Amino acid sequence: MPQIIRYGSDTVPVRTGKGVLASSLPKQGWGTRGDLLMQLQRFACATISLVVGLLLAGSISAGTISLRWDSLGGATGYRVHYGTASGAYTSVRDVGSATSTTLTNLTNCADYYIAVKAYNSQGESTTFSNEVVGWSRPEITSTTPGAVKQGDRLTLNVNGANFQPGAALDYDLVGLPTSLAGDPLVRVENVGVVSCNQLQAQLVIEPTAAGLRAMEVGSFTVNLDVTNADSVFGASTAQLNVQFAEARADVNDSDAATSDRIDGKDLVWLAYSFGSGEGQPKHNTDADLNGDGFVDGEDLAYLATRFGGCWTGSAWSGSACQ
Amino acid sequence: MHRFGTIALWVLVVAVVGCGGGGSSPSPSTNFQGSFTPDAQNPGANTVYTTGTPGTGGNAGLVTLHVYVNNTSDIYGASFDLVFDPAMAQFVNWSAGQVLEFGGQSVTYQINASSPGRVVVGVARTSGGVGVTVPDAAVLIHLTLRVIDAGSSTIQFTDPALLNSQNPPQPKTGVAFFGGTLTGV
Repeated sequence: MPQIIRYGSDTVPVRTGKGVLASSLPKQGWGTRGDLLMQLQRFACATISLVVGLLLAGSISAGTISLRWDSLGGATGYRVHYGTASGAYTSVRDVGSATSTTLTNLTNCADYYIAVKAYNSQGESTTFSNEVVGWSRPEITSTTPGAVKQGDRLTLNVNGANFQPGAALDYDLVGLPTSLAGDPLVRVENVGVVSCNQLQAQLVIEPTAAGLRAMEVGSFTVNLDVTNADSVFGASTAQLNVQFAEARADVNDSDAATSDRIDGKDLVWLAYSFGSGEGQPKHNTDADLNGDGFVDGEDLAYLATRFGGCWTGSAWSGSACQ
Repeated sequence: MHRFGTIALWVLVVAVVGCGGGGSSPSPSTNFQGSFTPDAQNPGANTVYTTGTPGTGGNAGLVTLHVYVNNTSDIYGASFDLVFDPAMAQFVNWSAGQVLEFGGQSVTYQINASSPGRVVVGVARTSGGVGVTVPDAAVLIHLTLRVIDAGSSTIQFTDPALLNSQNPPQPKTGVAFFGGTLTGV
């Protein structure tokens, strides 16, 4: 009997950027020519034991599974049979001569078993094609948080449906800044599926220590993909707003008496690097408050907004501290 | 980075740096007359000391403090808090000095007087990483206070430092800071 192959999609993205967790996803192709020849021969003998050469489940979206298969000579139409138990198909859709269809209104997070039969004027094939099984395409409905600060290490929640155990997360910032050494300034670690509706990971926003270039302040578009073990994936986009971490304005660490306080010493250190770019002799990475690779007026302005403030133990004060 | 954001923030910085002075809104004139007595008249080399000039006429309640740097080498910036009795005086405004500007250098000033009785001051050059040597005495910054009650208050420097032109700048050692006493009658 010809093999029916289920695969995710012929458009599975393979990302190579830093901070990407999903591995390359091999595509699975159509059946061999030999399979089809065998089926044709059987069809010519009017046995119609199997008329579908290859059934593919792909292009799956939330609550839906889209299918396509090889056309078969002599067939005038196809019927897709499906249900939530193997071999016990409770629903059928006649798609006519089309070789693809989309099953809709499927229950999320549930296995669906699908097979196809072909028909012509002589009737319907007596047996099903081989069966494919799987969930609907993963769907991402929201991600939190959308706003972070430089240096944050926090839990990223990806909410949606059809997340299977072992699903991979691809969290790819468009135009992701990197350090001078090429390291990513936003990373996703420890991906885990909490439930079929939620996936969690640790989101790391650099820096986690002095001397590291900070993640750049700004709004970034994030391309998100959740890929299940069967290579079916769901994609979405989100915005990540990276905010200035006030603690970075405490640039100077030469004097313990004024640590956790943003004062003239911090100003002098920033001013010393003023106008320098990353890699230049006078550049102080810690003075690049907004993480854009330069110590300039923007950094001075950020420091000015916090000048005189200090760490109160729970927050940075807005007014001058005693 | 976004160019518009850069321009907008630059405007902010220029406004802070280039206005040549600032501070709280002028308060109504008081009936008090202020004066200032320095802790040290001529403290010598490697010192920062303070003198005061009382206002006259309708500004008799104002006292402008002049913070001098005396005979010190390689200064890239300065950091200190000026502390006084908030029941006795309030901060009015500031204006740039001449020390760090020597040679036409760009200088940034940051002043925060949002806490009564305390003025947080930061001054630094922003170009070249070259320090300045002051052979005699020159003014780092002018700070004007208003006397709001009769009595006296010490004017003290806390966490003061002159910072040199090392990379990164380090507090100069052996520099003494002298304030004084503000009197209102």
